[in-house]
Amino acid sequence: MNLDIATLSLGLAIFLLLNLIAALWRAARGPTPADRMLAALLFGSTGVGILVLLAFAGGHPALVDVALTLALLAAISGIAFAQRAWQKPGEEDDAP
Amino acid sequence: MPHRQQTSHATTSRSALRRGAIFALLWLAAAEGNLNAWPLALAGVAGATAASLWLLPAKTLLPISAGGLLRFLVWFVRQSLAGGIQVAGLALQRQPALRPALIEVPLTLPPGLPRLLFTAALSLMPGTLGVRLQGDTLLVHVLDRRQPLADDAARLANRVAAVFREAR
Amino acid sequence: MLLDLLSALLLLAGAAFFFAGTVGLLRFPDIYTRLHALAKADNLGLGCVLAGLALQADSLAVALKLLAIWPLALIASAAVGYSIARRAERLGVAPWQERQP
Repeated sequence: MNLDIATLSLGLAIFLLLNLIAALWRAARGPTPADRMLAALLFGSTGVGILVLLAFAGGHPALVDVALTLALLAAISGIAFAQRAWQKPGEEDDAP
Repeated sequence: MPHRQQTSHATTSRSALRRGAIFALLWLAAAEGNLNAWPLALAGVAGATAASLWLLPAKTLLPISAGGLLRFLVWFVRQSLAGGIQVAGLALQRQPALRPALIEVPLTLPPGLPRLLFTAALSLMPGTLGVRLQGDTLLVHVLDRRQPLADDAARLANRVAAVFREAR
Repeated sequence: MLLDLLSALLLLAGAAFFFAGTVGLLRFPDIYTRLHALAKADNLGLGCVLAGLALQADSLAVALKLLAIWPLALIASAAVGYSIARRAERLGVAPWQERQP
């Protein structure tokens, strides 16, 4: 049994890239502004997945750091978004 | 919003030690175990600990049970697996069997972190998606309105309450 | 190698979940159901990919770094997913119902 994880990683990275393109096309088509916000979700999951796979495929370990940073920024901006969403005046303020 | 509170020194220093250890572990992982830049690591860990104590003083945080958190994580990974498999199955069906509905769920957990963890985890569990947190209810979108939502929500609330020791 | 086999299986399972998420996004009828597809399938896909690669890591620290990405991605999609659903509801987007009268 001789498995080449690097080659598999490269193939799957390309496969995920095709997924990302199809999903982005769908998100851009709308029809509501909320649909277009789906692009923000896609980079946090599929984008990060592509980066870590490429890190192993090409032996560029630094791409793992890029993925980690992207995930961290996605988490921070997501929380900022959500906080705005549930702190509208006259609604429940969920701060502790 | 950060505000300082009268906190006993013992609580604060225990909290600082615990958080410092977590930040140090994160640094070790991010630096891949390489400690050549240890002065920078020390400064980074100290700065992160100070910032976290300023933004989230030890007293405002409910005590977290390590065992409860670990059990929650294991259970959550299993639920997340079930959720992913369910939605993947629906997506790949010839005619996706969707019976969606918006349903209100009463919140039994205290406001703050417990409710946030509840809402976030619910969205990653099978068939449920948090839509609106308002007052003491959470509006939930379900993929199948025959799902026993009240039971699932109660089970999740119990798990979250076990993470925060005094959440009940 | 058993470890390589396990890695490969996890990577392939991850790609399958990503694919299912994309299919759900393309086929599901409204924003709420599409959010279900992305929030669950894509996150599980990422978790599988990260676990598969962590098995290949040279050191425990590298494996931990890879696994640390997962909770961040989960927080991001829970928060962004909630914001999108909340926004859609505010905009008055009604959830799709089967067999509309």
